[in-house]
Amino acid sequence: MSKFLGGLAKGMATTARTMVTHAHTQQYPHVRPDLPDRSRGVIALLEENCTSCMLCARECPDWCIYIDSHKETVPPGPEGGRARQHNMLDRFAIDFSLCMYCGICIDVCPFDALFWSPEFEYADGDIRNLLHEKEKLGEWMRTVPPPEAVEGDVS
Amino acid sequence: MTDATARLRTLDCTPEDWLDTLQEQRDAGFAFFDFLTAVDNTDAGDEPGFDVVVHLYDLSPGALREVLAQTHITDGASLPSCTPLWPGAAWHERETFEMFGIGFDGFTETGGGKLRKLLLPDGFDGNPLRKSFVLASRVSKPWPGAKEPGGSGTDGKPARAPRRRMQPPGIPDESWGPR
Repeated sequence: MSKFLGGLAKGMATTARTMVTHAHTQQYPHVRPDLPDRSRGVIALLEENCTSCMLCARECPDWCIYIDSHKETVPPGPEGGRARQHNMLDRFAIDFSLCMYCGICIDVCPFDALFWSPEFEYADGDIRNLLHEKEKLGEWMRTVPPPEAVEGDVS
Repeated sequence: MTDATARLRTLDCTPEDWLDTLQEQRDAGFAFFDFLTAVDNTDAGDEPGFDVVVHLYDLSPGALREVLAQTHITDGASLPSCTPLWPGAAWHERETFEMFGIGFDGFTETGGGKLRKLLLPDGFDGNPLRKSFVLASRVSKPWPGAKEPGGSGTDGKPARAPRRRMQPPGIPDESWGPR
């Protein structure tokens, strides 16, 4: 009997303690969650930086990055030189229905053309709408947080 | 992660000592069976085969300790079952059996069930977690990384011959048909 009473007292003490502590429930969607800057919500593309080098598409374990590009010849400048070729990006698409948010594409990009954004509200009833083309991936750039300030002397 | 794995004590043993090693650890306090699984090392240059791993905890109050026990078997060999020590290992051994094709001798299950598939449907052919297992979705879809920079086209063929052979892991060979 005393064991029962002891257990009851202990239980009531726990109840009393949790009663006054703050609950961590977030009232989404009425209140927007306060996500850390490094949250893996969506992948944004800075098209100007992309050289269509194909590294991300080749490293992607899910095969969900599609890139089309063509070569364009730049004529030599007025002071001579020779014509140069460079890649023009025609298509850059990420299929978020396949993506597993590993971030390898962002890690391997040598030109900083891909960024994580904490934006996550792009769920869709139609799976085909999860294939984000470069226009949509470019729009996500607005949601990319600014880089963290570097501490100390960086000169 | 590296710190945690570096601290995790790992015991290597032969398949013959498998049950003895586990019994020893169990008697030494590591009585909580966490998981059992295997690693496909059939493509390893020296000693090809499978590594079977068991993760155990000591949950006695004030002493949270963990240990990994691991053994190496050749392809096609089987291992003594640890279900007599931990009946809860039954699901793990059934999963390892279906995913890697590793047999467990002396397998017992509450209700007297035999070693059989756990998650896969009846009639499923193959062991999906073996490296030799070809993913069907890799057969039906061209690899997006096959294109060269500057090479367009939607046929998935490189614009020019690649300088070196480039194949992602898990891509099926020619016998699976044209892609």
